[in-house]
Amino acid sequence: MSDVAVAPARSAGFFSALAPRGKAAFFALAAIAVCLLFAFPVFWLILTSLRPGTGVYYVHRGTEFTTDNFHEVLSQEIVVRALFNSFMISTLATVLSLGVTATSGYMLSRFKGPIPNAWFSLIYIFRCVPYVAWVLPLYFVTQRLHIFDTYWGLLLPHIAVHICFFSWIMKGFFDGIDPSMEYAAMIDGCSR
Amino acid sequence: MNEKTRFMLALITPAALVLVLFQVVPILTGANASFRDWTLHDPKRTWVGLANYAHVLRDAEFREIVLPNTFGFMVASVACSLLLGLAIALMLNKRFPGRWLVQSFVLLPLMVAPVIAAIMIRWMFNDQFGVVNAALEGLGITPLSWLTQRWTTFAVILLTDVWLWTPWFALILLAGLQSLPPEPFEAARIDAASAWRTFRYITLPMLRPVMVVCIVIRSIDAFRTFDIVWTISGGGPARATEVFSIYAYVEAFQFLNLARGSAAAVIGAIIIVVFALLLYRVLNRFVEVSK
Repeated sequence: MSDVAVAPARSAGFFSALAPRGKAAFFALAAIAVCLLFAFPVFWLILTSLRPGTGVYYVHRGTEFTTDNFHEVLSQEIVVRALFNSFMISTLATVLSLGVTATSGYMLSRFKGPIPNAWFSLIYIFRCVPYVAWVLPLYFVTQRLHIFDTYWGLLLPHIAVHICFFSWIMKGFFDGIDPSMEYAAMIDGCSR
Repeated sequence: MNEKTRFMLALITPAALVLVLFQVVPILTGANASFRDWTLHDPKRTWVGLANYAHVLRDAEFREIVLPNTFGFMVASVACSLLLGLAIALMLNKRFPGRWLVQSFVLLPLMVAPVIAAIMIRWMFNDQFGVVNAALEGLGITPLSWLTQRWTTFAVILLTDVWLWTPWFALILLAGLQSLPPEPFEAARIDAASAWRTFRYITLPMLRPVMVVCIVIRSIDAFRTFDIVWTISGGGPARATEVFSIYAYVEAFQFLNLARGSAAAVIGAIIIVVFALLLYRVLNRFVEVSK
């Protein structure tokens, strides 16, 4: 018991010796430091984007600001098109990979045996393979399938990349759902 | 049973189909190329066996610079971002005024594309126009030419990676912290355990499963980092900060020797698969023992 009683007094000593409310001040300083650390490059990025062409070299000096850069970028048709492409590809890739991996994650979560084990090891291994190992051959494959330079040629490899990671996460979520409801439904005659 | 097997296979068919077409087939094509004399300007495609592998493994550049760089980068990056992420998660787990502000600041790096962050950081560390050197000069310290020496370049790359990935760790660990049951913490408080002891003997062991998954996923990704290294240093100065992905890329697309690049990629893939399996096994045992 004596050991227990001594411990809090000892741990409180360091900060209260520094200054009253030193702990709160220290915590606030740490919070501000963290904010600065993570926000600074982004802040700097925005600041640089607002400077005229010559101001880029001395972003920290001078006070002239301009929004010309934004006008110039947005007036180029290719940028708008690129934004649209990014939007389309990311949305479609996410939706399609979710559709494809929901079933595979469900399977990994609900079944045991050689087939789920084999599938999980396959996923784990292909998650490890570096991108460089298959980017160039991918070019030959998409050409062979006649989807080179199309949306599909960009989408399908994207989905392939997502499969490993998404299946793994999906498995975790399905593990969290109690299967007893499913058993009850099955007893009532629902199919799997 | 038979019906069950068929159902299991049906569930994974779409995923397996895409995986086979766009990962397995290209990887096998690449592996096939690595056994042949296949340069992009003169694709003879004659079988040369393991000559390309032997060349890569004998290359002093690969053994003495690329491998230590890759492993050093992986260990340092994962360790730093795990520690920082854990500290930030612990901080955000408390209630204090302005918490939402800190949280949204911390999540900023996740919203910036890695390549853009890398370009920005490269410019900030520019030896003549960068803000870092300007700040150093203001403090009276001699400015460094950051991107012309091996270790300072390495430090800049590491800093970028830690900056980019700490929020990811913080987010996942925070979710883990918030899902922990409160009873053990109440018990510890009743027993008057100090904050450090509560953290060391309650928080850390209960958080271990989440941390294992984080570490494994990030280690694999850090091993095959390409984009930020390529953008910040391009593997330079004089190939001194090349990691393994850059090595394979340079062999295949700059020296135009597809076979040798593929061989390097396959060697790297084997190393990381073995390493990841070992890591998973070791960490898994660690977790089970600690339960």
